[in-house]
Amino acid sequence: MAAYTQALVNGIMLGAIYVVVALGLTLVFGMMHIVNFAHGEIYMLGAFVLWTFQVALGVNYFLATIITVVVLFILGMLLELIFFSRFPGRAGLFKSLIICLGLAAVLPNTVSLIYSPFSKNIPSVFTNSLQFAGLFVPSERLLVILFSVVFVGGLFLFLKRTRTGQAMIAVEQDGEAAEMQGVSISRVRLYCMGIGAALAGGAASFVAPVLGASPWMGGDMIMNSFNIIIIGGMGSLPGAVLGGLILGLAQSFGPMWVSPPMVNLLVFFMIILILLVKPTGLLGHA
Amino acid sequence: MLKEKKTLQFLAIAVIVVLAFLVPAFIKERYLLHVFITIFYFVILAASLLLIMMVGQMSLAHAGFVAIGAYTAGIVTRDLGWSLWVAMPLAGLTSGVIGALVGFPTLRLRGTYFLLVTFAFGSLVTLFFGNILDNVFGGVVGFRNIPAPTFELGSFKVDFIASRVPYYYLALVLALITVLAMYRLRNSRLGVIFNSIAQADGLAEHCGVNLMKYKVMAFSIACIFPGMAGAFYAGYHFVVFPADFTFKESLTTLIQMIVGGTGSLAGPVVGAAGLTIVQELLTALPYQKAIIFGGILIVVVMFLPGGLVGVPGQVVSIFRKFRRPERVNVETKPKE
Repeated sequence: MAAYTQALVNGIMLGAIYVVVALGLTLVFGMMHIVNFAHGEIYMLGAFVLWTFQVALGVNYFLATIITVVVLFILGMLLELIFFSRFPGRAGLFKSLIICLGLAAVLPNTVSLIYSPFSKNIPSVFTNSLQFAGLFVPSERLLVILFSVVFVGGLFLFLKRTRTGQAMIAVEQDGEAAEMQGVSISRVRLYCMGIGAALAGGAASFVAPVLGASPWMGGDMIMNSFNIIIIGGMGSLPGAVLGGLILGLAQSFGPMWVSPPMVNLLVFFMIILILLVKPTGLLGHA
Repeated sequence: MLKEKKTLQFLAIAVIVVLAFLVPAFIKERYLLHVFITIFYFVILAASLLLIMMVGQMSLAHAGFVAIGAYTAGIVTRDLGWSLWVAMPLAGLTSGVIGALVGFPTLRLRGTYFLLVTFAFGSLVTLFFGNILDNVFGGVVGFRNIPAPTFELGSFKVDFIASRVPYYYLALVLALITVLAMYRLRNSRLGVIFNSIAQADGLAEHCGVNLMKYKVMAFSIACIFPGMAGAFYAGYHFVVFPADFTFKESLTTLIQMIVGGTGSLAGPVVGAAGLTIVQELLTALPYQKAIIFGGILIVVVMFLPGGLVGVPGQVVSIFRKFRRPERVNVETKPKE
């Protein structure tokens, strides 16, 4: 019973992180149609920005998290300004994709040259465990879940309640029609890349105190994020939430019965099955 | 004019091929021969990847299909004791059939979905060989003791262990077969159909092209060659590890193809040769190597739309623009 509770807490924590990262990926795909292969590396950069501020410069963890999110927001906008804005339209998608692949090769290796190729520890603020009904739940993991819920809720509120958010949704539904109503596509794209990167940075700063920061953490994350948005439906925000929770729980409960690599194999077969039955993913539309 | 250019092209290619056959007469060093063999190996991969591009798709599973070929050849030569010459076509066939099986459900999807599925499939293959049926595939410690190929024709016998020259010719012939097959395919009726799918799939469908059939066909044919390259890899290295065929290797192939240029078959060949040499020069610096590779890719995509092969044309067109603007005007004047 204790093992199941532990798996449940871990699964929800993992799922929460996946949801935040995958939301950034699916947001960029839905609005800009760019498959951001560098999204995992942006997530990795987030962890190292946090490490730089919290460990190297001694800033308070909560302040360092806010700084990380802001830095990553600016970084995302810079990526759009330097690279993606040069290749607008359908013909540019392929080029944007290739640039993302190039960044995915450049970023982790640059980070491992600057910092070190090995994993770095980030001290956690909460080291105690909450105890109820004879079960121990580390509070740092609860904090990760809480932070993620705040972030996801904030994103949905932003999209539903603000003019900019509504403009972004309009662009996602029909770019040309939105442009005719006076929405500036280039500004929406700028915000979109910024928010996507900020989400990845936020997720990294929540999870880094639990799992550490390594230059290679982006590779696993991007693979999982792609799996999530294929399961949930590419470009669908509720789909990313559903897919993230499914994958997180599968990866924490799965190893109780089969080996961890086997879990990934099963996830892949699940993806093939979903694609065969519903090619747009669980919650996606054509 | 056009005919002259074609003859010139043909002559240049013939000279390069003849020179390639003469290389072992001048270069004896094992390491340099290994570099050439690696170039030919990547030419096979990059040229066959171009076929998938021809139907407007992109694959990140090429290294996975190399793995399928390598393990197939390993099992056929080591466990069944058959010759590599049987194993090689068999490896290509296995890889092609698996390619068709993967392509059939996934090629219905839009380009992006297909790309992601191939990405997932490539990772899956590595996982599969590293973790499933360890007593058959050897697990993460690798599939070991693959026998060297043997070749006997009457009294003529080739020793594959004493020197790298036989491997050099084997790799060269395989690369030539691949490039020739791709060339024939591009200029055949099938190539025209593939091209029509990439240009405008909706229009092609209205003209009676069965999209699924030809897309699966292109993907499956393109997977045969990495399978054969995998068999060569197994016979050359005697041991294969799952880690030899990760996403990184697929990405390297893709980078070589795009940096070389996707407009013609010369692109992947030039890209594979150029980047393999860069890679060999930077072996001691793994991190810098990856940074330079990624950097080259970004620079090429941003500034050289035709890839390395397109550079001369680009230079010429810039030259013309500055030197003789009036001549362009005369040429574009409508005839009376």
